[in-house]
Amino acid sequence: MRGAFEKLNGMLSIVSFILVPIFLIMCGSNSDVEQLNAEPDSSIFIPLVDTGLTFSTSYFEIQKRPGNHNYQLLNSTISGDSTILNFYNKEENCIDSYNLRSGNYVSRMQGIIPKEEFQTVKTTFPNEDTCYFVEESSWFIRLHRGGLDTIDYLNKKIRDQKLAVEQFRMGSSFELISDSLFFFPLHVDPYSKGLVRMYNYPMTAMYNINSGELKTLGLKYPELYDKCNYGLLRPITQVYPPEKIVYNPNARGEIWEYNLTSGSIQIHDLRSRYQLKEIEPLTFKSTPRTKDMLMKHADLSGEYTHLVWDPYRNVYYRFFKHFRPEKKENGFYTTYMDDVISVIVASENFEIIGEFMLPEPCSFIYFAYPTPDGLIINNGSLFGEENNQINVRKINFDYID
Amino acid sequence: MYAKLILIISISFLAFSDKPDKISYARFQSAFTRLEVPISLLNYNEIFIVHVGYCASTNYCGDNLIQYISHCANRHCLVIYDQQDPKFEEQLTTIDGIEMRFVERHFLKTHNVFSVYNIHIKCKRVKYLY
Repeated sequence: MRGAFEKLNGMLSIVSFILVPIFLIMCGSNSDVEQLNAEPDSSIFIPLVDTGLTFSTSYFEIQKRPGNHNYQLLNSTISGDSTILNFYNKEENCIDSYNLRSGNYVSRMQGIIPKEEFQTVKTTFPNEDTCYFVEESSWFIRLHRGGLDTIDYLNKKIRDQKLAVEQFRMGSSFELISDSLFFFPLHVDPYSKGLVRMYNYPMTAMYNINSGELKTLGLKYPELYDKCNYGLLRPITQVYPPEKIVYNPNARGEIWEYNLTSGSIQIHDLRSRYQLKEIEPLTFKSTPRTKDMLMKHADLSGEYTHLVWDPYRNVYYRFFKHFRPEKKENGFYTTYMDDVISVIVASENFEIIGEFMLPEPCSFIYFAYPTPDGLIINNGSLFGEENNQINVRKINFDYID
Repeated sequence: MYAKLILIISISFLAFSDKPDKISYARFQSAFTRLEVPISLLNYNEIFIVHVGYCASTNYCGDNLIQYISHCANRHCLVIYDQQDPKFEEQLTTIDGIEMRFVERHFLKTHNVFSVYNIHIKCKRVKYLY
């Protein structure tokens, strides 16, 4: 009897010796997903050779309308050859628009806007006469020159499907893809009740304005983000070129390209040549009591803050905030005003065309809009010290143009 | 025996891993003496450092915070705040015994005394208002 057991035991161990490697090989076959979940190593990267991208920048300021207006930047639209910057005017409860080419105040869009709707809002302007906006705890609304329509209780649908819209962040987009389709990022709050893990939840949603259908698509949160907590650098922003979704993990050197037709994933290395070490995940537990440490980690680490797709030149711009030392040479501690930002320019196939440093006042990016005239960003403080102007910098790339 | 040991180790690990980055009284005192018009914390019984735009918890935000500070008005109290917000300032400037002082957030950051939490300094003890 005992002999039979030993035999059975021996057979089981032989079978397991054979099956375990086969199982491991099978698991390893999905290399893209595995790469998505590859943990960072602390190896030192060698900077790339300068590719000779030449560019010119010009700074200009737009005078705000007379009066002390409390503006919140919403988005940009194209009108003819010009780019229009749209702001929510909190004092007068309307939308003020400025032409970036002429530098003039253009118009205002008024409606019965419930003020609270614009607190954490995502907006998109398909044209200069219409604005769509969605608010985290409210409705999906269309504002147009004729008035205001409530289209759908979009957030109820999101809640019903146990999804949550990501908190408003400049890098995130909410875009009208065609006449009726909107794409926007989703985010599952890891601290919300009942959710143990955030990975395996979808990152993108598609909403059909005609049928009212809401469905998820694109990549799911990689398992890596459950193992490695990047704290405030956790967001994964996304852009929507035709037929694909491109994900920009703010704490990772690569970007993830999801093909909407084939459903395939491609990982492209779009690392800054100024990133000489990996962005490390948190080494402490993230709790409401460790917010100071979270902020310090995010401040001093590098971060890929924005990814922008330029439809006019079919290139991508990826903004990298460099690692910042804790102290300056004079002994004072550094602040966000000491940040240095560079921009990687990549072709439609994600080959790096070049990388350049932004000039000194551009230590933080509120917005980056591609326009027919060039890439438009804020030049340091958007409204200036006296809050009476709009500071804008235009960047033209000779290599691409 | 081992189970108890593991429990003690894990509890102490959790306790230490949850500690925020504390700022000492000495660091506050030395930072505020470097202002153009220096502040000596020793002259006040109670000092509050309020970040009007930040809030870690609803317990010490908005009206609750105003009430919390106004209870200390009779003990020669200083409120240092880093964002000029009339809604906040108006409620406290009218109370006798409370001195208000605006200090730029940039100064707090460059001197490494910035915290997202509101802070109550009392008898050389720094208390974080979560």
